[in-house]
Amino acid sequence: MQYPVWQLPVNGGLLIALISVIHVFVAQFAVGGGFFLVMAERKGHAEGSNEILQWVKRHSRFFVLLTMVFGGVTGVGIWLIISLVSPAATSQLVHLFLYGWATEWVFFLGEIVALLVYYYTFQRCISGRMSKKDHMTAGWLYALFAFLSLFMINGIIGFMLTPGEWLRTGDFWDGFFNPTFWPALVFRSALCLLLAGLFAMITALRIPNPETRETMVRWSARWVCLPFVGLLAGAAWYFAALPPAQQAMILRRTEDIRPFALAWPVVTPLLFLGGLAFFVKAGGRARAVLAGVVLLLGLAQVGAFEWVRETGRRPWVIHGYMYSNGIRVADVERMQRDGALSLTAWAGTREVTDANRLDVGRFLWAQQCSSCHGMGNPMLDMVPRAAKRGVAGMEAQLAGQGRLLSYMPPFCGTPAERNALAVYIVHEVERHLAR
Amino acid sequence: MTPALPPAALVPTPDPIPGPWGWFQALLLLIFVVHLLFMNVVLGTSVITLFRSWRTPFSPNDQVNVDIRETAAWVPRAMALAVNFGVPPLLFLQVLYGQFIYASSILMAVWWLGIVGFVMMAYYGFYLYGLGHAVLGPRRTLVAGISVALLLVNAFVLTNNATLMLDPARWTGYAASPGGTLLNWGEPSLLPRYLHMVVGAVAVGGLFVAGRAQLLQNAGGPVASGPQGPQDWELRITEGLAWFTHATYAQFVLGTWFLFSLPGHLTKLFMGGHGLATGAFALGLAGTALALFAARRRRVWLAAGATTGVIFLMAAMRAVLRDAWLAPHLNGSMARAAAAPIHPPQLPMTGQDGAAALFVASLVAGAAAVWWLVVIARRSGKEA
Repeated sequence: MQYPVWQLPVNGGLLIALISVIHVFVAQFAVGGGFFLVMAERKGHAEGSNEILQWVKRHSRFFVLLTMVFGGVTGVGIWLIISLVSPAATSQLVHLFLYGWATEWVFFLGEIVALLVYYYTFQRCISGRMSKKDHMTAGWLYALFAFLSLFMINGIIGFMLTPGEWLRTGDFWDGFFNPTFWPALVFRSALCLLLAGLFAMITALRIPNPETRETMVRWSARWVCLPFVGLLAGAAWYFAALPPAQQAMILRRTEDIRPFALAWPVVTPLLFLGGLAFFVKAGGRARAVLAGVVLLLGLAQVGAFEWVRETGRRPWVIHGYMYSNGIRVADVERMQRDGALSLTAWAGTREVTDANRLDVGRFLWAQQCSSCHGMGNPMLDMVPRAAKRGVAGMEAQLAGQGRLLSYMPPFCGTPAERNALAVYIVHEVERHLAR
Repeated sequence: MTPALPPAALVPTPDPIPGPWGWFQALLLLIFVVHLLFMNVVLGTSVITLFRSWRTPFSPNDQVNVDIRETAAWVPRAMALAVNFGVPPLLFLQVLYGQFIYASSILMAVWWLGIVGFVMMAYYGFYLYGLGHAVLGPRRTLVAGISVALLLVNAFVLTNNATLMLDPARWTGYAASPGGTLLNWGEPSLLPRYLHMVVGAVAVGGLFVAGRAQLLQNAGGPVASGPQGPQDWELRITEGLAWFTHATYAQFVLGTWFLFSLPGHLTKLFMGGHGLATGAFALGLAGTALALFAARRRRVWLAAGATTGVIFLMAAMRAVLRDAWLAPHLNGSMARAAAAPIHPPQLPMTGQDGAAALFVASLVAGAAAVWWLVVIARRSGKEA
């Protein structure tokens, strides 16, 4: 609560979601893709097929372009956006898991170097200047490092949802190997393999020889279909491993969770059917359209899962420790006693007066509400929610937060601050309605 | 709301550090130098590529054009590694100075987040450039120009944050500009610092051009023909070293400007006020002289080695400067943290030694794997 608040016209949570979903989609494809590349190369060598090898080579360039830079830079992008929107939580994660992040960096470095070597020496392997064994080993190293990257990130992301024993012990390993670590790893690993198959189908459609094209499209479609066993088993295990509060939050299906929670069980079988459809012979154009549709389904599936996982944590950013607006449980009592303004100098004042009521309200909105709520813009827009409530109604709502409305953090401040926030919200809502 | 914000009170209380301060400082310094080297290759080679594209008449198969393109093809590769090696310094910076860097980043959030887009677009620009002249043709200069402009803006944003984080007095601009659009224009050292970094990068870019030509010459690579007629790799080496030499001479002016643009008490650190800072400065000047001498004698690797040493010394000086600049606020915020520990409900930070061991083990294993990968790549190249 001691950091300045980036006062955005849109809510920060939406920005985090946009960057994260795109990154996760590409990054998980990279993880599964490592295994896909070496297995496909092995098939090419085993069958003595230059066409398959040339395709794998072209496909690995796709990795260089998409996963290495787009994936890597958007990964840094997530880090930047969370530190801008939730600096306190980011600081906590960085300090607690510093060595975890640093280890993940090593794996990311290994991933990049292995991929560069794998791609740039592919032609040498095909022409016999590099041994198949060496080239395949480079590919396996890429797959291994990419998987280990996932392994590390999985522990830290899972910690935020289910910190488990860490809340009692403060121990690195309790936080890392938290209650959902293993099920999430199984689930994500299956998803990675599935995504690898998805992207491969797209590039396989461009193999010139019809016979090889058909073989590799079907071979890639297997990567989409077979991981479903792990995916569904992982999803069930994951849900079962969630503590009751997190399960209840997901099942409660608040307005913003509902479409995503409902979408996942619809999109997932469609994705499976989309993969199966590639076993049916069809024209090139029909398949290209289908590939595009299946890719979008994949994005929707990843997006729905990540959204439900994130919102299932509500009202926490680190479950049981820090609320989604960055206020730690340990600070709530003091903020309610001494005031939200007592913990930060960024508001420029410690008290609410008639003259600064709206300004204080604006600051408190940014501090305590804007990480989740929009004001006249997407994601939990306050305008319809607060319309016709009036200041007294809004104050009552704020007073009930965290108790009656358990999916929201408590309002942390004095009654005067609560009034300032209510006045500001009502003022802004009326302004938007009058437009 | 335009209240007067009290600078000292704006600095948040830091979270506890999971290990000794000096250990993270050392890691920060070492990996930051590697990041700087890659970053300098990226920016410097990009600027030189732009200039060469502009000055060289376009002809797809002309050897000089091919050489320009093949040199530029290294930019995206180096950029991937520069981004990767930028991660640990930012991580260790957040661990040691999170109370400053988070706050300053938020104040300039729009620009700070923008670096993601700038880097990505510049990468794809140079990737296109390196693909082949059939792809871009004469438009290559435009593409290189846009990419270089993006990289220069990126560098300016980074310099802004590097200076803004040092001076909470400038954070008071938040009151009038809470939307994340603040830039540190009022800081006298901003411009010289920026130019010092950019021109330094051009010098390293020149060394990269010369070093690449030297390597290819040693390996018996194909002979390039210059615009004036048949030449050999010597021309490329001369060109690269000329960029290095001229940019380094310019650094004497820019570096002096930077030094004297600092607050007086900080300038004095490098002029006898602080043993390490003064020693590093003196050694840095000697190293620069050695690099220039080596360049004059066309000893590319000696010039590159001396320049790497100078960059290390400059990074060390930068660290001393940062701590001295932040001293009052750093001590104040850490004293606050010690007086009222805010870390978890009375929890110790345990398990960190094991986590540190995991990191060190992964680093050793990762370095071995990277070494092996580089060896097989080079071996297969030599077998050509």
